[in-house]
Amino acid sequence: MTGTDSLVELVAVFERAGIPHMIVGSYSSNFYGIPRSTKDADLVVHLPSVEWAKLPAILPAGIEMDDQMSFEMVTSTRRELLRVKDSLFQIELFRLSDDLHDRTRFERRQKVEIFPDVKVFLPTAEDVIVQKLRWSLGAKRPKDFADVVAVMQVQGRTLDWPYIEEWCAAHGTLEVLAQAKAEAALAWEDDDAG
Amino acid sequence: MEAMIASDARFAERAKVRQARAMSPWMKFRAGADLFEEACLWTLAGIKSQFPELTEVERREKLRRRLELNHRSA
Repeated sequence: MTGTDSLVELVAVFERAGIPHMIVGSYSSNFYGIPRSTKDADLVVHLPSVEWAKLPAILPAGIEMDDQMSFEMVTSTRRELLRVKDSLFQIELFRLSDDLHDRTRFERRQKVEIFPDVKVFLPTAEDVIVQKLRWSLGAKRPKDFADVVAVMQVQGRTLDWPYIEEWCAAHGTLEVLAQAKAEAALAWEDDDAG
Repeated sequence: MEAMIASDARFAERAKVRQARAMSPWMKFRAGADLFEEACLWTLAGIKSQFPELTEVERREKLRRRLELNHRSA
């Protein structure tokens, strides 16, 4: 089972169980930008903490928790690691937080077709940028900055820049936004040159 | 939220390290190409969503140009 297969299967289970969700992280930036290899997927689910402990029972065959105890004992947990059996692919599951942008990003998520008859929820390109800039600064991860530049390079002027700037101002990431934009703009100049 | 991001990042990094330690040299060797192919599938899906009028060949050409873009900025 490939990483994508297991991810699509997990998403189908959430759909059937009526659990709102969306795929975030590099899978979403790959959709809007330039492919980058990854050995894990990130998923946000909207589930009350009391329901969190019920998740193990609905996981599809072949997907298991890294730590069963944390699901069963700690209902306040807000993230879990899922492993794909006989594979090293892993899925990180995050519970939707109360953070304003986290909520807004979730509300704005879009259902897109990945393969024929397979649709998944992804954040918008703008929200991928806003969140990855936050991670780039907060987690000091260069790969998040590179993903932002890649999405900007590809989506360019079609992006809703005022929306991005508004959130970056609220998050204190305007400076890193300007750096990413300056880097991405070189590709737009190439576009303009034909 | 910033403290949560830092904590989530540490959690993710620890998981990645454990994952890498569990991989054999052959798995690591193969993973590069396999994972790249998978990543390309998602980007092709994005291209199809944004440009539904393009043929499969044209979509692949667009993907090739995006990858060149990445090489140029690396």
